[in-house]
Amino acid sequence: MAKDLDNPRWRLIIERDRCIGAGACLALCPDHFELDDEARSRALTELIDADDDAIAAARSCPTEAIRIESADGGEPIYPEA
Amino acid sequence: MRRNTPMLLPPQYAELRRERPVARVSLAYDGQEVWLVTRHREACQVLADPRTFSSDFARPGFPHRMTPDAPPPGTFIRLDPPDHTRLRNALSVEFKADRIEKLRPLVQRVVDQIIDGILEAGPPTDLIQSVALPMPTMVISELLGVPFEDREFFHARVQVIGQRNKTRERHQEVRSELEDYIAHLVDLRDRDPADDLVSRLLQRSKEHGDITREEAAGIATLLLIAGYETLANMIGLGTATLLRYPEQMEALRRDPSMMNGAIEELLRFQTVIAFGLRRACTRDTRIGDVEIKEGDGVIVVLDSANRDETKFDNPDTVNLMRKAPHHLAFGFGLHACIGQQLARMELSVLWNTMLRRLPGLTLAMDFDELPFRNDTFVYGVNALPVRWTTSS
Repeated sequence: MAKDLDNPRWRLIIERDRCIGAGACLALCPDHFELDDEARSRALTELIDADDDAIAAARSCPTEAIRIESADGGEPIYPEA
Repeated sequence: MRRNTPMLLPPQYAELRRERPVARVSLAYDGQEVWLVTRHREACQVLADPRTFSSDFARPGFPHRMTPDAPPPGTFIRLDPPDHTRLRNALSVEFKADRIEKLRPLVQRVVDQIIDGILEAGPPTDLIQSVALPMPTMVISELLGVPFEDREFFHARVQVIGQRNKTRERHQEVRSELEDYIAHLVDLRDRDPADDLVSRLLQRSKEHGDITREEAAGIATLLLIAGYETLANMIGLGTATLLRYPEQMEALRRDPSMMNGAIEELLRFQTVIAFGLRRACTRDTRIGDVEIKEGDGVIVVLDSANRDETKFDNPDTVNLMRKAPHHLAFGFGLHACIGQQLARMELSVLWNTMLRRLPGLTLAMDFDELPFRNDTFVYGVNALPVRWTTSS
């Protein structure tokens, strides 16, 4: 399938062991993050349309528990390579 | 509200959590009516929704405490996105895990130096004067890059912030001296950059242009004010709590792998932010099942949320083995404390070292006689005399 450059898709990766439930991600990007029953962050859906709020959420994490990759090639979106 | 006893919260909070977890109250100091949020679940709801609950002090309904005057540039705890995001991003690189690990040897050196001094002087010592006030001051002056020759001046003034035997006028005088000093430090690092936070903020200001020089100075001042008094009091209260429960302290001394969990429990149990986090409601909404109107003020009581019996079993009991408590001692959401991992590291180095090097540590005064204070923004204990076993 051809790459759809106008609508890039991203994968949200949350390292559960690093998450301390500070809640910055869901405050910045409630469309894509929520806290689970154990107060750890969880992506509402793993694959999302490219969204600057998701980058802001990843950047806000005090324990750097959130990474974002391109959905097709796994290239790093945040943190940048 | 006042505590009747140092280890328990004001009794009204338990009643509010049970009867009215989102309660309309009138503030004693200016009569403003605000919503007081006392339960964990509703506290998280408010703090996770900065679009509805603004931190902008200039919003209608924001519960001002002392003054509605604008905070200095760079005070991002009083801002909403996008300014908040811009300023916080400029600083967040300083608090990343690798940066904090790099600071660990420095913190260990500071702690060892302090404990050397205590051992040399011999028992007893007042841990507030000998540890809780100087340790965070020394770390923050390293972090900011205060030159060696200014340390004495800087430390003497920073420590006044944490002392309660000084007048309000003296506190204001010291604050303005510290602001002047930070302005001087910014000038110095502008001319002569070094490997420190102020230099890096200034460099960022020049290269990226995303923060101004004034904001860089404001951020440095904010770090000092927000990071010093809270940690100093947490050291005092946490240590007092360990001393109050010697069996648990001994278990921790024997098994340092308990330390991280113990720190979380002590943070939950002794939440130093006694006044609560303030927000202004920006649109009609509900917290839990209570209707809140645009322009209403909201105060989230963190220490009450941390003793919420619907969230924590036996919340008024200290249990250093408690597993993964999701406490709100560092706040929650967008404005969650940026320095929380640094604070955890400092507490861990301090308590590990203290328990190892001061064997048989015990209070040199009845716990009930300790001068806890009841009347301030930040909860704390004013003196903590202890003795320990000397080897000779």
